[in-house]
Amino acid sequence: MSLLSLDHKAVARRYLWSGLGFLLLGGLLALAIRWQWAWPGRSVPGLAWALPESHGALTPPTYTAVFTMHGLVMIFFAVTPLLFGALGHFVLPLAIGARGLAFPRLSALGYWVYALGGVLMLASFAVRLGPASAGWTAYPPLSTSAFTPGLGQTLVTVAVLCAGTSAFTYGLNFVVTVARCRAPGMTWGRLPLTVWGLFFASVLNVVFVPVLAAATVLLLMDRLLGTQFFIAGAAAVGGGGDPVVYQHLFWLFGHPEVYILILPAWGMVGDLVAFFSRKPAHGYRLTAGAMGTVSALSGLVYAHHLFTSGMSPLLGRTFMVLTLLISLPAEVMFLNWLMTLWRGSVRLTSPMLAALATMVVFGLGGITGLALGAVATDVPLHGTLWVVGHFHLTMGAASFLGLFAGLYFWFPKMFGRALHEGLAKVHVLSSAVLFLGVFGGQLAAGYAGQLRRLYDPYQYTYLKHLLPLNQWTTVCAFLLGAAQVVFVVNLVWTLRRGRAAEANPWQVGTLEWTCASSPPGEGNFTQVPVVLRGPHALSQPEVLEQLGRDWIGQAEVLPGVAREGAGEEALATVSTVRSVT
Amino acid sequence: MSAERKPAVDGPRSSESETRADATPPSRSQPLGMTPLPAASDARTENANAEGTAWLGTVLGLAAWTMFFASLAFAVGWYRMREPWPTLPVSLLGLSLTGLLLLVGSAVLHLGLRRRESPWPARGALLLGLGFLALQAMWTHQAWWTEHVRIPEGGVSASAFHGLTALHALHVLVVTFNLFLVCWRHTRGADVRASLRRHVLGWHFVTAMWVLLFVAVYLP
Ligand code: HEM
Ligand SMILES: [Cu+2]
Repeated sequence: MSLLSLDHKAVARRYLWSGLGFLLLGGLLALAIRWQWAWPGRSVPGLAWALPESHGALTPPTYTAVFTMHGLVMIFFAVTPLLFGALGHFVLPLAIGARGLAFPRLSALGYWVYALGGVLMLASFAVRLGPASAGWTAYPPLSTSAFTPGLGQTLVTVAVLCAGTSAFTYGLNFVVTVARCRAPGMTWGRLPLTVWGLFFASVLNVVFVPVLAAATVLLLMDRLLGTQFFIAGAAAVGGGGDPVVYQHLFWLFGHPEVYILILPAWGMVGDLVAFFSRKPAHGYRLTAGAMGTVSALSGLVYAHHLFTSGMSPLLGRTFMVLTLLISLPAEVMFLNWLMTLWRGSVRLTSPMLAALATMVVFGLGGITGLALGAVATDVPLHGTLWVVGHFHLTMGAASFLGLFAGLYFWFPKMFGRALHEGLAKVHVLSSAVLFLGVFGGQLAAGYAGQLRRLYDPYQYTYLKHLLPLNQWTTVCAFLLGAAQVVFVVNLVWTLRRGRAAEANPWQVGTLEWTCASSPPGEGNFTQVPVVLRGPHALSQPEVLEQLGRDWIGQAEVLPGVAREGAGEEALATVSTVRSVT
Repeated sequence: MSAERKPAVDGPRSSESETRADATPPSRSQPLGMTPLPAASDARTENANAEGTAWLGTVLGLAAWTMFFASLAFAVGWYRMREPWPTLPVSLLGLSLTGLLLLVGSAVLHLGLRRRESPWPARGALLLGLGFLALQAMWTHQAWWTEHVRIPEGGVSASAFHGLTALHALHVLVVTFNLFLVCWRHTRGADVRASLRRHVLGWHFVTAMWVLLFVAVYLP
């Protein structure tokens, strides 16, 4: 399909390839960081061309730039665009029975804005003084021109603004699409949980990305126009502003952002554990409601990132209580997943393995978060690798594995070809185990007191004994990188000569698998389906009896019930939907 | 009865694809029976749907973008709590009268939408928008050159005055330009009522944000 096509599936594919490209870049940067922590100051293999003066070794400024760009690339240019831009764009309209997104031109525009941001990111590597180097959070005063005078920091700030703009556009697009473009009979209570996850995350996108935009615009004005919003200390003129304001604005966006990254994965896990336990999702409404509650609370906990910023202890305590409260709905949802698995006939397909792995790493990430959510334990842990381990388990490992759960699940629908199951399972399992190795190692080092972002931790006597631990962690990280080769091989091989996918390889009833061809043509459905039931009608006795299979399409009429029951109901739904609008 | 009705909720480009649907035979990978729907009916419902969707998108988008200005106001509120806010050397009355132009524009457009087809409310608002921008430029110019409220010397309050005024003016500029495009299309004979209704929302938005700006930055 051409680069100008407005079709949601074409836009999804653009995001997929760009996002995977940035995932590779972010991964390579991560390996460079790990190398530095294991063999500080030694030449990184294969980097001599880029850093000729140091023969490929990271110097302190390059190291700082590398970890900054790693975080920004991963969050804004790899994982979010892959979850929303690729999977969201592709699945959401199909799963609700829409012919496309509500605003096709907006979605195409969003991609190009994202692409522009990507180009700026890449360009920043080439300018004098290198790319951004103020950490992914870009806290002033470090991110003001007093400390990072290079053009790279400015380019990257603009690039983040671009990524934010594109997130705002697809967030808005998804919200309106779910609200307005559902097929007849697709009530809110019949949406797949994936759609719920994407929907709530999109709401968070439209509400909180403008906050990031405001913080970033003020920062850019400080950098370029000499305003004093975040400038303080010796660099300030006329009294100066306050860098802490930026921290508040950043985390008012940043905390919802972590839910933006995990909600789509939560939704997919909810669907996949039901599909592959051959059971309806346990407590569907409660699960959807829990995701909604988390989203509603997500803006109210952000200052747990600022416990040590000199904030009033009273506020600290308030945010601690709110933070611990928000983990309750998450636990409800987690228990619902476990209940869905309980006594199900579990099929360990590659998407299911990825979903289970997501549950494991997310569970560990959440538990390590509790230690950060309580003020007393956060004060010593703040700023250590414990925090880094925590957010990599949740935002790195869980979102990544959730992403691959979705990719393995919908790949046959996207490309009409079936990936090699064996290779997919090897990729998922090895990645999951190695993730635990890498981020477990970080947790341990952080617990032992290793601060994050240190160029050479072993300059501190009390951290010297952590060298072997860090070296083992680095080995895990390199193996993790190598494990991704399995995915790339599988992908390339399948796209070249993989076998054609079956119509409904996973034997589930959602609209994209039962009412559209693989890959779906333009307009998605030859006829807009009329939805009759929820997304997880699995192992229903009457279906087994009449159709001889354990699943039934969301829009499939059960023979026998056709004329009297379900058919009528469908038509009735059509007319209610009609009279409501 | 319901049988010949078309579903209200539908994708945006369904009319084109429905025609194509006849040409494409159902593929093998579409094995399941679906209750057939009556074919798409009149283009009017189709249009009304698309309009409703665009309207909703505009409302939600603008409502969410309020967060941008709320964040700016939060920042200014922070500085104001920290230390006394200097009184602006620019006449508050002048600034208020400037904002009044936006309020008048809001009223004109609101009332104008009730009268069908007259291009004058939109054209009038266009003038009001340009007038607003010119006056704001004048006030900032006066503050900078005559009163020496400057960046960076003026510290954070001067930054807020110039910076936030400019950010708001940028929004007004975009809204006014869009309104200009609507008027332009109208003079060339296009039916612009629906799009005008959406752009009027943009106008109301910048008016409300001006009130926020006034309270957060201009008031002593
Ligand atoms: C049970 C739920 C969670 C709790 C209680 C929690 C708590 C916290 C706390 C208190 C911090 C601040 C630590 C510090 O800087 O001292 C933090 C950092 C962080 N968390 Fe969580 N968290 C939870 C879940 C998540 C999830 C689901 C994600 C992402 C998907 C996530 C991503 C992050 C990130 C990105 C950071 C900080 C990054 C940085 O400072 O650079 N967290 N978490
Ligand atoms: Cu947080």
